[in-house]
Amino acid sequence: MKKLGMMVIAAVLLFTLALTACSSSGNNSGDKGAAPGTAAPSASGTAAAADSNLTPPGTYPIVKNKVTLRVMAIDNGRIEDIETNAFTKWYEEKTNVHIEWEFVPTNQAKEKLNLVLASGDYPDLIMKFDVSPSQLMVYGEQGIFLTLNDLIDKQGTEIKQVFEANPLVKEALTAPNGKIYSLPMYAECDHCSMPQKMWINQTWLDKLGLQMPTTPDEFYNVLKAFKERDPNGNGKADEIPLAGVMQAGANGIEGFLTSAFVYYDKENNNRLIVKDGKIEPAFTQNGYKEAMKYIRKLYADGLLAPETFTQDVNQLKKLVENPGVAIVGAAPALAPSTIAQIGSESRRWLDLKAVPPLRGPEGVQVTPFKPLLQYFASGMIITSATKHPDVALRWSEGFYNEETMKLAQFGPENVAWRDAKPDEVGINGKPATWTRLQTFGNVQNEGWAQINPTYQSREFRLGESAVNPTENQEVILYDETMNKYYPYIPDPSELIPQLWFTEEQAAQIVELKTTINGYLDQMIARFATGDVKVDEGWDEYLKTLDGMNLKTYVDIYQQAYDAVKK
Amino acid sequence: MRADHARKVRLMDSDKAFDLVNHLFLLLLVLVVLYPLIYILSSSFSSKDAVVSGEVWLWPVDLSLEGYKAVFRNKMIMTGYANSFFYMFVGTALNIVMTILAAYPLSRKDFYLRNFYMFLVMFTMIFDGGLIPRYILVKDLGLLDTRWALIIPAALGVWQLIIARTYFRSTIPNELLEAAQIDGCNDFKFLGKIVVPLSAPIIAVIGLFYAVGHWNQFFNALIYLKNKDLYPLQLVLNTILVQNEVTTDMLADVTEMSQRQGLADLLKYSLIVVASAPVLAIYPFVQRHFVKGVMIGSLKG
Amino acid sequence: MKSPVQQLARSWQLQALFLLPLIYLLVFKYYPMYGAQIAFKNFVAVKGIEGSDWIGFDYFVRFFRSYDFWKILGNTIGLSFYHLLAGFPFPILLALSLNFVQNAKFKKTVQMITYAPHFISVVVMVGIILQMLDPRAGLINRGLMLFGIDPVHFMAKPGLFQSIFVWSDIWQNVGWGCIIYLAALAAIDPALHEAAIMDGANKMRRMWHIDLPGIMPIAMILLILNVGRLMDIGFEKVLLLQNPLNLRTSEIIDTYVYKVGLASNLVNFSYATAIGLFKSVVNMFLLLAINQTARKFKQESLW
Repeated sequence: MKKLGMMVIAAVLLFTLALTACSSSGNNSGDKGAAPGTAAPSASGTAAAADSNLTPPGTYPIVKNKVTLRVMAIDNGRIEDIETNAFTKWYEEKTNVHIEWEFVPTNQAKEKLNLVLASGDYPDLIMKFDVSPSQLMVYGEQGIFLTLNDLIDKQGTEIKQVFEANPLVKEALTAPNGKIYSLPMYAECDHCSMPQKMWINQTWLDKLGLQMPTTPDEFYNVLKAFKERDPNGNGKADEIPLAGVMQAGANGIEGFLTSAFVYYDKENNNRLIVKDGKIEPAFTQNGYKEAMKYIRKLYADGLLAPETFTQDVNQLKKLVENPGVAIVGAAPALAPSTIAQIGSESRRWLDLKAVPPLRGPEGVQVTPFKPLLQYFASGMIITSATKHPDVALRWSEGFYNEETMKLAQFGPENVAWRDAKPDEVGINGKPATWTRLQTFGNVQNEGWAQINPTYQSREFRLGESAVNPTENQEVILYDETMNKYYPYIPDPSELIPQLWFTEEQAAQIVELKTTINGYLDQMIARFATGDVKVDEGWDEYLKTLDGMNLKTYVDIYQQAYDAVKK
Repeated sequence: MRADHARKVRLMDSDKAFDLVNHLFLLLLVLVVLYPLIYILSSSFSSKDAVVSGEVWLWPVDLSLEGYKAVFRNKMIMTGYANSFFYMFVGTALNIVMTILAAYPLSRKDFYLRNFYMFLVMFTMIFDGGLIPRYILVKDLGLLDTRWALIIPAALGVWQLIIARTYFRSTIPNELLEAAQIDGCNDFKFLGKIVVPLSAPIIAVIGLFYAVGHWNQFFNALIYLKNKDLYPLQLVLNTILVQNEVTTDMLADVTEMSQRQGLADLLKYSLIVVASAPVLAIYPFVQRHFVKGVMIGSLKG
Repeated sequence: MKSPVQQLARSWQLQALFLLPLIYLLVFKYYPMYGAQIAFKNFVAVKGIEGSDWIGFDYFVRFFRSYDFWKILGNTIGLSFYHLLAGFPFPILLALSLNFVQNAKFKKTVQMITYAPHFISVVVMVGIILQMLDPRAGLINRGLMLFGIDPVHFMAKPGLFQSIFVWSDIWQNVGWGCIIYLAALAAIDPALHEAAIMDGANKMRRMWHIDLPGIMPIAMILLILNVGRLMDIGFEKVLLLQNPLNLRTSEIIDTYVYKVGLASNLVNFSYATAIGLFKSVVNMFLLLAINQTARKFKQESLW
């Protein structure tokens, strides 16, 4: 019996090996277009052939005889039918380029992209997929994603204007080796650049005759007053002075509070700080320790809701939107819309006003600033599969033109939007330049509902007519952000710019990051709940971080930082 | 389930006590399990503000069809339903045939190489090549973006195969086989005329499992299909959910964002009801096949 | 012993029946297995599987050397075993219980209701769980407060994570899981029950002596099959139930691999595949072990 068993196992293994051998010869078809080193990174080879069909740069149509490009894009469900879509037809007529579409639903985009690349059957253009700079570099060096520097030089017009208007964009887009592998997507958004905000119930402050707090101690006292003096007036001590969630990016509960003690930016700076060109962890500084003690105090004195550490955003919203009377005094969020329901009957969202960054005992008063928050490197990628790289580039950069952009984004002029009238006022209080006529987000067939990359400058965004300014979220956010947070942005030398990790570095980083950040979050929660005492547990905490290879982690960041800063 | 005559006649005291405890236990279980179902149903019929503020506990608050309207507004819903029915019926039919073809021989002790085949089967349950080779295979076979991509690669489920095999082994007595062979019945005939009729319960069960599997199919449809006309229901529903979700590029459009998010919260519930209703409706039809040993008894007689 | 050819010929009809499934297995299950190689390669999508470079056991070593490896492995195995052992008896109990219900309407209703929760999506299910366990307004704590007991912050306790996961799963799936046992019970020859009744056996005894042994084969097989999938406990639900306070018991292999391999900036299929392979190997050993054990106890086994 045993013998039979052994024979069976041997047979299966041999069989599997045989299959592997067969497949090695049979699978080469899947590797077409994937041979490294033989790809033509620049477009000079094919440009000659296409030259005769191309019109001069900056003119339309792009080609004399119609060209077809395959585009893979994200399906956000808001376009009824891309083939009959008004903008599709308009743009095709303008450019004389026909598109074959392949749509992928949002949530599986990463996997689908990898499958497509692995199977060797890729489209001409990959539009607005979330591809990280590291991935761009890897595939770019492989030649699969075309290097665009030459193309931009020779054929680009709109994109050159974007670079001129905003040099930061070009800088962020360029890899340390000087190559550009993609076209960007950028919508300047001031309130997004300063995401770490704390919102407080202004009606409660008014009711109790309190001033907006400016220091951690003042904040503590305000919260205490919320707890003890029944600001919602229902005779019950049901007020929750401060509530939040843990894993909410910039607006995890610890974000705003810690920034009064040390520069703490979870997203852009990855919880690291820059001191004279040297990268250090924010979370080992003395200021961080003090911040943890402060949070502990809030928790211990019943001012911070315990469920902060276990609930999700939906539950937080439920607390804020408590039926009947408000029970939450303050909560961190990017905007009130995250924690309250805009347009709801309770009108809770109008009670919330932003708290300016608190000034800590050491004089630290700063808010994390991400100048390129709504910037994505991978707005458009041109692959080596295309036979018309110049056409692809010109087709893509057309979206940066403001007129085209408005049509694509919103729909036809005078239907979805129009030029502003002289008396209309923009979000920033200056005269408006355009007015929205239809709300965004519904299923429609007039525009492309943001499936394409665009460049929206600050002037454009803020030039939108503000309807109903006192209740208009955009206006409120703009005002609150510029008045209360903008004065406290850090010196540019303290910011970590867009980093490009090599494959090796990226692999190491992701593992260390998962472990370290997981531990940091755990410890924030445990310090807060008193499970671990800050003073007694601090050394152990530092030791554990060391054991997790914190030094290597910081070193890699330092290397990438130095590479970009050169 | 039909009552046994014999049992009616001889109802003992200990049986009465047993019945009481039994019924109580089931009642309790039903109550415990019922709560999430009612919650979901109520939420789906409430307004989005009510859902977001957590007002819904047991009954609908602010009775509204907002959620359902949002779902059925989508033109693709009917296509989604139709496609899902297709995948379910055709897929399950194929599945049942394949499963019986595989399970029956494996259940016979005189099937040469039985253990080898069994090992072959088991191995695939534990090890698999991964997403990428599967995708490439489907592509190379020309199945990509066709209905068959959702049916052929899923033609046989190892789990169901093993269940069926166990069933055959334990309920088709050897005596039956021997008697049939004496009567000159060959394997094909035996399978078709005797085994299959006797196997109504297991066919019903694995049929149900396969059917539900096809109905809930999402990921395979996502990666193999491009043509929206072929989308099964789950994929269409996902599109609806995605339409209403807040994406980072909407960050700048704050009011819309909040409206969308509220609706998305409500939609989650309506979607479950819309998606599960047909499958829940099938169940009574399947269930009637769990009838006690009728077949065996009558055949023996 | 007859020669292989003769034996094949003898059972030719059975071989013929099995042919189609066999082809299916070879084409759709075995052929793609060449993809498992990427666990040993530095897979770059654009190079394809064949073109990527071999790196041997690097990913495995990296995983084994990762900081929390033992904790994660322990969490995974602990959760899986808990899930298996706790979850095993309930569908059986329910099936046995339903079997003895005479009233057809009651029986059908109970079945429908207990079967329905299976279709609730993971996201909604976790939402319901979090709401029920909410320390301020959750149903459970409200109930406790009625009895004068202080509310418990369930989700904050790492020690409770596994129980929350397992029991909510049992709650959701007991009705679905009992279906297979109902089918098995349906196949039991009623003559056995008739005979037992005539011998004076009451329901309890009939259940113990007829029904239970009748479903033992299926129960055993299901147990073995579930052991063979032990390391593959669903990751989506765990990921959604994780929070910083329970992370030290709630991080399992699949959630860790997801964060490192797939959710990260540089999607790493190789890493995910390597760990998947590791889990499969563990599963295989567990499967062999339990199958042997079942055979020793003369129970139904896979082979």
